[in-house]
Amino acid sequence: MVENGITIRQATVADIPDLVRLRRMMFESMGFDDPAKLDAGDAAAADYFSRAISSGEFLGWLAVTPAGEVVSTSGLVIDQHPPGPGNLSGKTGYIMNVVTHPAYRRRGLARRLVQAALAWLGERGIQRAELHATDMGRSLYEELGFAAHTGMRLEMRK
Amino acid sequence: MTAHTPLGGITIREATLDDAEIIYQQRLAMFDDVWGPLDPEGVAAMEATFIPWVRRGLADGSYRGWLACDGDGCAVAGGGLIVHEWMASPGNPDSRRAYIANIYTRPDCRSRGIARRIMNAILDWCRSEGLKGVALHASPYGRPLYESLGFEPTNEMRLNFE
Repeated sequence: MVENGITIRQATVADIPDLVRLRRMMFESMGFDDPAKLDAGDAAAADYFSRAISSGEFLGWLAVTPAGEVVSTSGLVIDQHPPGPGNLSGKTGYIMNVVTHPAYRRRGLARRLVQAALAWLGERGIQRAELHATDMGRSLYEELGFAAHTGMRLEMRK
Repeated sequence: MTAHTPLGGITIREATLDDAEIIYQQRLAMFDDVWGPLDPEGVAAMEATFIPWVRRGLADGSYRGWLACDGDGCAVAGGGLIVHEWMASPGNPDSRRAYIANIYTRPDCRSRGIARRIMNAILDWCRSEGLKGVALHASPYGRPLYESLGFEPTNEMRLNFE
């Protein structure tokens, strides 16, 4: 799908270097600045993507310029939660890896990429989507209908 | 299988395949407590999907359950854990993500610290597996317990499709 010269398409294993590059950009914009940890994260992500894109476990979407540069991404995995009355299949789409190169922000690319993931879920009858929002992303997700939820997390101490 | 020391006549044990029906009944009661009376059609549909799902999970280890049993072996509380294969990140080199579900205590057994013992059994298991963190969705009733165990709210958002 082309709009304003930018094409949205699904990611393949050939796109792993771009997915890893933008994922690192996302962590850097969240304030991660230890190069050793970022490098280790890159290697682990590349390994995960090569396994999970091939198996269909991870789905990615890319925004590509006419010159072929990948400038924004989104990602989706399907989590299997226990079936419940509000979600009989228990399947929940978890959206992550939403990041746009700083020079390409404010153009609606992340919106188009998240909408592509939501459309994929809709076509398969998956009733629920979740994500963790940065402050930068929150207003977009609210516009798309996401609302703050009851998630809590415990970080284990050694 | 680990059985925790009885306290007040209550023993915590891990669930087996034979407990699928009990886990289902506890889950149903949990939703009933949080959301009010459930639509019978929804309950029937959930029974059809949940029981096979949890049996599969108990069999292959993707779902683990813990039950608190009284002196007669009757389950009065329970909880479960799902471990997803996941992606490492700079803050967490582990490729697994753990999610706690189905924390429930029968109304006549509440305020005795039983859910806390269930949670501690689950957290002990997570620690013994070297998991770096664990997530859950809290009902208003459960939140104070989770907070006292160190859980903190996250930036999670959810969308339910029409």
